[in-house]
Amino acid sequence: MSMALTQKDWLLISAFLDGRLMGSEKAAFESRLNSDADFNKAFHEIEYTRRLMRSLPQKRAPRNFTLSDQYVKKSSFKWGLNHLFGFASAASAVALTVIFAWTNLFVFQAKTAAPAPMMAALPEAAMDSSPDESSKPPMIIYWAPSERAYGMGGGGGSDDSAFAAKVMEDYGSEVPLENSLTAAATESPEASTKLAATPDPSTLILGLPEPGTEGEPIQQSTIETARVISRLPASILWMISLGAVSLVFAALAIFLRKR
Amino acid sequence: MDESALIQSAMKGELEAFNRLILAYQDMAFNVACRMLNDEDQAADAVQNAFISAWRNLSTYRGGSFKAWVMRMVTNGCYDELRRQKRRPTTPLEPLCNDDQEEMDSPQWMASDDPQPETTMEQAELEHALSHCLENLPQHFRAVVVLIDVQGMDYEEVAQSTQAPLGTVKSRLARARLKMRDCLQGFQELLPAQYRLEGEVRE
Repeated sequence: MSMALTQKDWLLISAFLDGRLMGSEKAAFESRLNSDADFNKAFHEIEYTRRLMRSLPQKRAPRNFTLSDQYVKKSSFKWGLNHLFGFASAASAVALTVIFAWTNLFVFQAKTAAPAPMMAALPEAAMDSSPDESSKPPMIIYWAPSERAYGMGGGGGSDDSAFAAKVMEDYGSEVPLENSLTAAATESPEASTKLAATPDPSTLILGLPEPGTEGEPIQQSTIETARVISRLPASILWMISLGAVSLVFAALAIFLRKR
Repeated sequence: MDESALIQSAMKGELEAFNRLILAYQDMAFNVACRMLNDEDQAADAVQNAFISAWRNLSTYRGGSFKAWVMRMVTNGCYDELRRQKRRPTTPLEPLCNDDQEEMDSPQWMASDDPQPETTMEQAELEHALSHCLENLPQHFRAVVVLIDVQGMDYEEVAQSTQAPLGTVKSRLARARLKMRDCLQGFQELLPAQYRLEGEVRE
């Protein structure tokens, strides 16, 4: 490849060979061809390459590529179906996009626009709030004062009873204790039976069956499933069904096109 | 019946008229596909698909050169085939070795160390060299150089066939010829005498 010639020079050589240069351009080209040895050499090399390619023999088609009536009829039916499925798939995809945009984009805009007046109302609300409410003692949940809460955080002192007495002294009877129900149950037998019938939520372990039901197959009723589906918003259901339809039609169109 | 009348009849749904157009262009289409794909079987398939596609899309023909429009179908078919080959490369099932333990497909001009057998046909050597160089060209350059230099189409028709602007066609052609020149210089000594570049020009 000649370093002296530019891309434009190669373009000129190519154009001259194909008879695309006219008038002054052609005269300038011919003048340079006689004066510039490198240019002349490049011209002859490209001319030679072009001549070689033109000397390639033309092949004959190995058979006739004409189309038959039967093939055309069958093909046009498939082609029509392919178009139909393709169009249906595209329409479903467009509908899916519109619903998605409507449910997400506009709802999101509405959500982001809503906090503005609420934020404006905040200082007023702060001014209106009565001092009585703020002076109320905070609710303290006192976890198992009689036993140490190993691993539950918060550490633990050695003298729990002293701490409990201090709390009771500070907050009086308003302190709600977790084990108050247990204490009441020990006092009255009715409460005790009621407590025994109510399963303690803290003892529930997710994933374990209830006693006596081990080994039984878990049956999720169709009613329950239908209830879950009915709880989904209509737009989600539309989006799912449109997505499925779009995919199925697209697959059918691709299948027909391949065949 | 002239070409425009055949086109009109074909557009009205007359398959016979379209088949006559196919007969007029099938050799050219096959040659273009052969040079693009470098495989006669694949070329035949590509041409058949191109004519089927042309029949289905005949309504999209808006006048102008029908030859360029048909060649557009053929080049598009070849691009599809080349893309498919790139995605799923295949290996030919022909035996790799013959009795002399040489590759069956290996052209003799590639064996530069061995002396050139006298019995080799000169035209075949030239064709092999050109096919090798054409195969090494980028797809778009190959299409332009095949349509213009091998098939003798003009720039405007090629611009229509390749759906590229005229300036792009000129640029691709110039660059493709330059690449072909570089490639063919490697085969100078192996080419038949009448196809060699004169010594005073090559130095």
